[in-house]
Amino acid sequence: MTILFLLFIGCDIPEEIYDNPLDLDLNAEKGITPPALVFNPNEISANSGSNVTIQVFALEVNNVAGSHIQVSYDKNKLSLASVTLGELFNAAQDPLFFYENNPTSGVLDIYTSFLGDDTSVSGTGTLAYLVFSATAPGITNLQITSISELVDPDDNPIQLNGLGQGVVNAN
Amino acid sequence: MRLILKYKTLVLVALCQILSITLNGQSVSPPSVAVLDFDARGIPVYEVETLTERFRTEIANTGAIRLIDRKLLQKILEEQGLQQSGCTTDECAAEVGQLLGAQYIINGSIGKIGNSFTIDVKMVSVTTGAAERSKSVSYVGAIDGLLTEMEILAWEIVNLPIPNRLLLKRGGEASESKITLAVLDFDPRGISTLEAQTLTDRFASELNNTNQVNLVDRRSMNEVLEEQGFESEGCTSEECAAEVGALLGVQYMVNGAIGKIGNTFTIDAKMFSVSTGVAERTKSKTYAGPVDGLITEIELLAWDLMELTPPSRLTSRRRGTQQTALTPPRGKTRFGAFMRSTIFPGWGQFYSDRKLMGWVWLGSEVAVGTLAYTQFSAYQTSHDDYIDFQAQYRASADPTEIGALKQKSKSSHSDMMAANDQMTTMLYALGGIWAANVLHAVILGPKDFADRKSKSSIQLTYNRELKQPQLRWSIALD
Repeated sequence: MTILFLLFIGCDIPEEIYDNPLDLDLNAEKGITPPALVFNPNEISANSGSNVTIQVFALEVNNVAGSHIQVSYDKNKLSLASVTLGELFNAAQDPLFFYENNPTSGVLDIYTSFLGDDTSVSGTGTLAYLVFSATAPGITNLQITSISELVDPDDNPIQLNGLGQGVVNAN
Repeated sequence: MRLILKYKTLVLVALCQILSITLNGQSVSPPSVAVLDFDARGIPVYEVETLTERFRTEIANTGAIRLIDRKLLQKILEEQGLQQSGCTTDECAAEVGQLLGAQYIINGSIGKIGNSFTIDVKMVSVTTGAAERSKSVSYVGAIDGLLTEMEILAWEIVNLPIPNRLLLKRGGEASESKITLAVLDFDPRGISTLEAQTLTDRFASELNNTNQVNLVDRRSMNEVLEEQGFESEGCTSEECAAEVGALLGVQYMVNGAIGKIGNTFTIDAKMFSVSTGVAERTKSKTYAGPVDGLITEIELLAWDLMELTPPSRLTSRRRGTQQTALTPPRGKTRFGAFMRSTIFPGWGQFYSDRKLMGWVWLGSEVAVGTLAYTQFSAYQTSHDDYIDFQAQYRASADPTEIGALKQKSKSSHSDMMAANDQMTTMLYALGGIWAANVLHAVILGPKDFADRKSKSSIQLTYNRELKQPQLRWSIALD
């Protein structure tokens, strides 16, 4: 009886948590459908003063030849440490990649483009890796702004059906 | 003148003596008796002849008769063309007796049926031709034991008490170093007379096995007592037992009592000297346990009474518990059944001698427990799968793969929930069965408790000492 009682009290039922930011169903619930730009992870915790890495993900995009991603962040709690190119734009031809950070306003612009008319990429993948440093404790949001856009090889804008948000929780 | 007077006086005295003898009508000498060879039925003739000869010898030893010599008997019968054997009718015996000039003829037969021997003997009056006395004996044992039976019959047919030496011979080999002893039936108190007699017989048998006593067996004792017009039943006092012992001609008498109080039996035995009436040894036993263990206890008491160490064949058979005067007997209780069933399902029922229900409860718990464990195993498997799929889901960057992993994760979680629900149900069933088992153990209690409860507390009994019926009322204090 004791053994069975122990078995009973040892049976916990873990809560179901499906929070992968690339989960199409989860994003659909938030009103985000492909093609979309999201953060991965969309929620991250860190100690104050430490760095966190957040990916900017393109979700099921098609025939992308260039992108302009604008991320707004809380300048009082986060400072940008670095930006690196993601794997999505790894193609036969290295893209043009640069970024501009305005720490005063807390806005980061990332530009990526293939030179020429032929090269484009499709699918789901990382556009850029953003490394922030948590400068103050607290919860801060990251937002991909509506100014962000993707273009095809003819420089036509590709409609985005969702722009994700991220949360950094600095202790 | 004086001489004539003296002569007349002498003649007168002689005449008076002759008249006295004649008026008495009997001779002062014992009657003359001839013993014909016993008839053989189922045993060899030579063995019957040997037994008859032993009978002749012993009947002559009684001094109650004048035995006609066998050779003379044979000679006369041969002259008359008659044979001894086969003359079993009274008429034949009377005819032979007349020829021999005997007053009585003794004839008989010795037969065998299965393992039993039968001896029938008759004493026929030659004058009347009628059988004046007859005796019969049935004997089971080896044929050489019939020698003693013939010797005893020789005394019985002439209506004389049997000497102790023959009684003891009947019970076994007499020994100078052994004490002679007889056992009166133990007084029953709370058990039946038949049970008390059975236990007394076992006690007596075991006394014999100690090889320290020459025991007068029950049959011989009863025969002697009946002849003396004595009833041993109810002979519980030492004075009575001493009187019986004197009649039997033994050195010691043993009597006692066997009682029952609740589940405890008490045996008390006393051995006292017939000559002094003093109780030389008193032994008691208190025993709690199954009633068949009482047989072993009374056998052990026989050795205790002889102040000997009992053999291991008895001590190894000992059951139940031995109680001292300071230790109260411990029976089974409802609380004991309750505690045992609380600790382990079915244990209380086994304790209460309700083995079937014990197995039912235990079997039910095992079956349901097995089902619960099966569900637990299923839960464990589903839980591990869920954790694994969750980790893969979180790590994946492919939306298609993410979707598939999410489905697997949900499925595992669902299986885990179902197994957990089933297991919970089984555990509740386990708890319910366990509680019912405890209640069952408490409500019914031990079997002997139930029996005590079912017995009337008012009993009608017969008090032997007061020789009157009595109404007894008792209250169980446990």
